[in-house]
Amino acid sequence: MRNHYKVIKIAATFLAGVLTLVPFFINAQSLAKAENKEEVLEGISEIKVETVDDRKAALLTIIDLTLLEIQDLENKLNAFKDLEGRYLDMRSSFLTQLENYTDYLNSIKELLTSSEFTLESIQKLAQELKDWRENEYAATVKNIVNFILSFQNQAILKIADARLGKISLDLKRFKAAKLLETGTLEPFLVKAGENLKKAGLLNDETMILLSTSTTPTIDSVKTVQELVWQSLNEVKLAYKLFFQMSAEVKKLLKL
Amino acid sequence: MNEDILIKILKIFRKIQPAKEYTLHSRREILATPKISHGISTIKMGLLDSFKFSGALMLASLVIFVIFGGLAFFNIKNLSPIMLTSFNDSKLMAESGDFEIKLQEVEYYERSAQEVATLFDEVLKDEKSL
Repeated sequence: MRNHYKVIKIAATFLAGVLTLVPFFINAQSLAKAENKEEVLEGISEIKVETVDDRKAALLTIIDLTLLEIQDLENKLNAFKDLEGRYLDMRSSFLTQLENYTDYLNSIKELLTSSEFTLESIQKLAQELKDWRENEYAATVKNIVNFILSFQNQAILKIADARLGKISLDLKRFKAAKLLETGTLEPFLVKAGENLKKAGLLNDETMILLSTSTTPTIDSVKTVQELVWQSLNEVKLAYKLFFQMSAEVKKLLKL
Repeated sequence: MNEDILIKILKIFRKIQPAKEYTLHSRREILATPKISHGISTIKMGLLDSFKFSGALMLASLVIFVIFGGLAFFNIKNLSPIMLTSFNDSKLMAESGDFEIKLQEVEYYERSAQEVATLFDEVLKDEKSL
């Protein structure tokens, strides 16, 4: 009996130690979360602009948000490990552009925090920043997002194709084991296969367009974006069918 | 001559016996001494001692596992045979969720451009209440 008490005592001490440390981890996590671009964007609509100082603070928020977006794009570009040839050059070019943007934004940030502003001078700076964001930055971001999305789409297609293969194999197994009649499920499988084939062709077109572009930026931005969206949409339709098949299988197996 | 004397002395010694009280006292003392045993029960006790600390750690780990949602692991639904097939809903959900996130990313940049443009307009508005 005394031994049991001793075991419970040691366990309680260990548990108390672990539980004391948990809040520190949770706090650190929530602080890190507060620094993501989505949360900053959520707060932007709440900003009240009345005085010169409010305008200064608003511009600083826009700069911080833009820096977070740049950081995010850099991370995504650097995450691609097996880029070759032209794609590698494109990524380098994008990263250089983003680095220049970071320098530009930091110089404005320094100016904002170290100088006195009148209404006229702060609005002049705001106009300059607005023009830069809408003409220069927005176009680059669009190009980079399309580039990232094209490569991510390739990875998504691989996963979706693997899923189609597994489902097809399982249906054969069900049929062989006479577990269920797969006749009603096969049309879903054929249709999903067609969707994924179409998605693959659209992605191939996107990659060709990316590789034949004469400048590091993507010339036919709209077309690339359209192709990626169409491709992802086909994958989406295939997964819709997978879910329908899953529900049908459960019904047939009476689960 | 000397030998005869020695034999006589030895014969007397043979008759020497301890006092009765001493014999009883010694016997009691010997019987009261705890037994030193090297049997199975000793090994058992040793093993029990060595498992005491690891037992405590296991108990604490189990409690932590339960506190942090470990019980969900034993959800009966996870034992369904469908979970072993390619129709596993949670896997399908995770995969489809992945491309939904990618699409949301494009939408984010469009929303960001709009929200930031609205804030710029506020900054560029003529000041009234300064």
